[in-house]
Amino acid sequence: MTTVWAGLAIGALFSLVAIGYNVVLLASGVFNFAYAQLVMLGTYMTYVGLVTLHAPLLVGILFAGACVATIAVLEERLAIRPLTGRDDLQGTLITSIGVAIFLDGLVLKIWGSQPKTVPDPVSTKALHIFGGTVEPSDLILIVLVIVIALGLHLWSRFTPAGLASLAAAEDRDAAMARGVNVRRLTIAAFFVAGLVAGLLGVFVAARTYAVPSLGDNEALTGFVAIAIGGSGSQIGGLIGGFTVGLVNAFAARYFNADWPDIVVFGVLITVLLVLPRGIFGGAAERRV
Amino acid sequence: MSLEVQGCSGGYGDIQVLRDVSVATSSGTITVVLGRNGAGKTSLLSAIAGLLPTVSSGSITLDGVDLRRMTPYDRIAGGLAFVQEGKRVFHRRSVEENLVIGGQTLPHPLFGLRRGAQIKAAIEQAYERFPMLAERRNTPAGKMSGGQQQMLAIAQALMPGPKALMLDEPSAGLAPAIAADVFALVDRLKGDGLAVLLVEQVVEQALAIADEVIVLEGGRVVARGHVSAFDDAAVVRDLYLGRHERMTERPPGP
Amino acid sequence: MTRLSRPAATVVLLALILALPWLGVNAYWTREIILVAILSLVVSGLNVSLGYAGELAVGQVALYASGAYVAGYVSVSHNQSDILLALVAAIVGVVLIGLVTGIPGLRLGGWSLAMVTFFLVLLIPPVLDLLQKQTGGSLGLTGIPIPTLFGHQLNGRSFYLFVVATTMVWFAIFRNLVKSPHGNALLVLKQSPILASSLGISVYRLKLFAYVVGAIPAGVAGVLFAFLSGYLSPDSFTFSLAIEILTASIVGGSQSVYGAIFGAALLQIVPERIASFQTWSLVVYGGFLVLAGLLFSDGAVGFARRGLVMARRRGLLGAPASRRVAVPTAIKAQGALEPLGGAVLSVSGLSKLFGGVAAVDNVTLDAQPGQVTALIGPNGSGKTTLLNLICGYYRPTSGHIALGERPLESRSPDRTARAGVARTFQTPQIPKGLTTRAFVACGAFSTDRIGVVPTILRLPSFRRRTRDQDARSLRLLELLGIGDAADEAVSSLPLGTRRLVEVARSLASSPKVFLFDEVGSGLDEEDLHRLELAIDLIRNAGGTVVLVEHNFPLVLKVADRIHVLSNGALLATGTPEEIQSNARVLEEYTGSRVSGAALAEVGPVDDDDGGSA
Repeated sequence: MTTVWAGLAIGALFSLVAIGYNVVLLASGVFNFAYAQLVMLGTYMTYVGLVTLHAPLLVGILFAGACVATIAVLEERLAIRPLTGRDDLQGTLITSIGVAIFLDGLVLKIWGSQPKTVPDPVSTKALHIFGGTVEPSDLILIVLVIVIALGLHLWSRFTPAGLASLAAAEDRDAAMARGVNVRRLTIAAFFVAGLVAGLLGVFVAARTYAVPSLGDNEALTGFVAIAIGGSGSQIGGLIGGFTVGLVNAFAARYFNADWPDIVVFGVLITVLLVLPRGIFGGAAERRV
Repeated sequence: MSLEVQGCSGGYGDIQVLRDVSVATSSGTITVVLGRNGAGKTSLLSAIAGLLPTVSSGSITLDGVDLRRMTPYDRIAGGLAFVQEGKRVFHRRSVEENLVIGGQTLPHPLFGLRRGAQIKAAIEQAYERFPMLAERRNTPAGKMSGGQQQMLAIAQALMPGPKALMLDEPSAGLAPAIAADVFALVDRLKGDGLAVLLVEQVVEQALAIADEVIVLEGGRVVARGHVSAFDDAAVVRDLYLGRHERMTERPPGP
Repeated sequence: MTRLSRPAATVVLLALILALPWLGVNAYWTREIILVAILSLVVSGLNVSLGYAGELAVGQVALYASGAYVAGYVSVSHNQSDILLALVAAIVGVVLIGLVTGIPGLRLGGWSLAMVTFFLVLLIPPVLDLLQKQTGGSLGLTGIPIPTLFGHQLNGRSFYLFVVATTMVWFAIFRNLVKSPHGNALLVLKQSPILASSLGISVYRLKLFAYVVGAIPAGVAGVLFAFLSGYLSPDSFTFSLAIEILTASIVGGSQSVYGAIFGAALLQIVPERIASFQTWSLVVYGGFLVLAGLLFSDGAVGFARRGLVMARRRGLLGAPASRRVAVPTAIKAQGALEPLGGAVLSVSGLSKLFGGVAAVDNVTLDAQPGQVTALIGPNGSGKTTLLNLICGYYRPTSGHIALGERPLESRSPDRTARAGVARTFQTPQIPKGLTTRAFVACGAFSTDRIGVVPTILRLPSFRRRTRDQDARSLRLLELLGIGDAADEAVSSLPLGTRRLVEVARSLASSPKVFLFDEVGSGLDEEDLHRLELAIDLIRNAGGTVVLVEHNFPLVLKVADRIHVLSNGALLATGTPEEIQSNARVLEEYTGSRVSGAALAEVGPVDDDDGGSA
């Protein structure tokens, strides 16, 4: 059962990345490869807020949220928006990868490669639930990720702005002709994705520390999560992320440490062979 | 209140599709744009909506406001409505969701699950006008027939209560009886005070509801006038075959 | 440049490149050129799947690694230094791996495929560890000997010659392959697999073909790399390399043949310069990628074009020559097609249920050669479903379909097309990057197959057959009155012309039956008239024409026999006169709102001599 909790905790991280990918994908059809790096930045900004600036917990969290949201919006303005006029979106793949590498390099340069410890937000000891052990910060992370994904899902299905985002994902031109302000939607999506990454930074850091390699580890796996769950579906990203997390945890425990990747790949292939567009279909299937 | 285009030229990058085109329509008037395929009819509407890549000269004003510098979103918010050809509704969304999307430019809360009173009112009005849509409010748009989708597209465009409505071949691909319904609807909308710009291929039916007519050929306006001067369908066929002088020789009707 | 000087200039250029080491270029730069050549091979492999087949299959690094390790293993474990042997072994290995990894890829598309193939890169270290005995695992494979060719050692300059020569040979093969009907077929596939099937192309086989073709240069590159370094380790085959390859492909232009070389050069030389920035190197590299993406996302050619447009806008260059949008010329009413062997299309007792709802309900009808058979009915009457059943996109729930003697009901769309069924689409799927004449010739791709080997080697049989196909395309276009559009990009044509191009394309395969799906919808008077003449031509040549239409006047004018569908069932059958005066049909078809008298107004269009004038 502890393995289950471990899997869910790892999975929450993957789901978080999947959420970030999906939010932007739905609003603009762009795949923001740098989102995992934004999550990493979330941990560092939290470090800066809580350790460097000695701010109280809440202030530190808000500070991190604001910082990462700003960087995300900057990314959109500089590396994504200039390309949205063009026919194919493959350029954004390259620029967002470029931003990812840039952020990796920046973090490495400023803080070095040693992991930074971020103070634990919840200072109680490990909990025993359902027969397994779980850290309280992990539990909060899991719960928060679920709440955010569900919230976004409901927002997109029931609010005018949310429906507009789904419409833009389905047919951008027709959406523009209906008065959907696609540009504003895109900026908002990047902002929200960045904000979430920043706000949750403290819980992520409790699990992984602030470390530069965080982005690389999570990026592809987050992608696997949305491939399994279906791109554009928040619920799918949730399920995909937790699935991969659980598979990862069980494979690491019962097989060799080398194997998790291969097993995850196997699961991915199997799911995709049966359901090529993921479990919930591709609401935002864009062909590059 | 009028929608006016003066001397508009533009196209797609290097390819020039519109050459010095002027057209106007005002409240309670239907102006029909006729012309062959490739004549520039769709491009004209795209230019007005802000969706044509290059507009190199000319002015486009709605109710006196210059649209040229505005994004498509702002033009819609300013009272322009555009029903593109091909019944472009959102197939994965239900009829009601499609209408909500059409109401984007109406005030609504950004978060929170409520829709906003104005959107709700506009939806009710749409259901009154289109009872057939009310019956299918939860049907995914992709599962409706062509005629129903076209009605939905028009209802969507009307959600914000626009001042001017542009329609691009709304009858294309529809059976004659359904197409007749569409034309009747457009006629009624004129009565509601909208300024209508209608692009069509089905000459006889379009002329039956038209007030003003312009004919495009090769991106230029080759004939314009009141519909009474265009009464004879044979004259219009002549226009297609290139005998333009006929049109200008005819004086406007009584 | 005149026709004659182009090949001459190319030969001179190639000879120059080959001679570089003897012209005083130092060892460092010769090694750089070798690395660029190797990278460009890998990138061109990606171009096949990305630029031509439109698939985001980005697993080139895995194939590259496979080629390298096969060569390494063969030469180290078996003490073999012959480079040709290593190449053959690597190509075989890479083709097998390409097939194996390609097969699941066939079911995926878009981002999922990209993901899976990117993930392959992550699998390289664990797989190498698994095969530790053969590959040395994470410690690496050492001791790869200096390669030999027919007993001579390839070292320094001779190795350079071999690498550059091999690269040139590959690019010649690549170019010959993509600038051919095969390349055009890939472009069609890229635009629309449905269109490809309707042309008789097996999507499955063509995709697999693209994968394999893309795998070969990656494998060859791996062999060259193995012999260049003498040592292999998993560190050479990283995710960063995969990104470099993808960037190089996009920056050079995925559809450009030689763009791979430009992209490879950029991605080989620039990052090395960046390494000198040390701790800032990642930051600079990231910035470089962002810039490359912003500037070059539509390839070097796109960049140049945008520069031109911006320059024009600022008035730096003259106004553009307003390019004429191809407008059809006068119709050649004379001229005829060669005889078409139309077959009888018969449908008996055909039904199709979708979840309990009968979209097609026990329909029996046939279409005879030399006749135009029309299928009309309101929206939702089942016309399109019936058409899709005949073409093989749906399996019937019950009933039979036959073309002449051959049953059709269990065939897939591409096999149906190859059996002689040609179909047009209401919304024409138009591939980008093809001229009209090339697109029309695609119609004959599967009926008049030209082999891959003659294509690559440009054998006389290839030249002759492509010339014939092209001449035929042109003749068909002229016959339909749109000869002027032959050299235009087919994606730039107006709707009416595109519909006629579809008709020409269907003629190219000399089919046994023509299925025209709402081919008249959205056309104006003149285009309709041209269409009528085209249909007449086909009918007079003995073809079997099935017209699914909304345009009642058109149908009344051209059809010999009309079948009226309603709610999936056959409502009435008869000649135009019979149908026109059939009251029930009028009610059903027009929704009981238009009286018979009113319908007569919309009735058959008289000849265009007007009356008043």
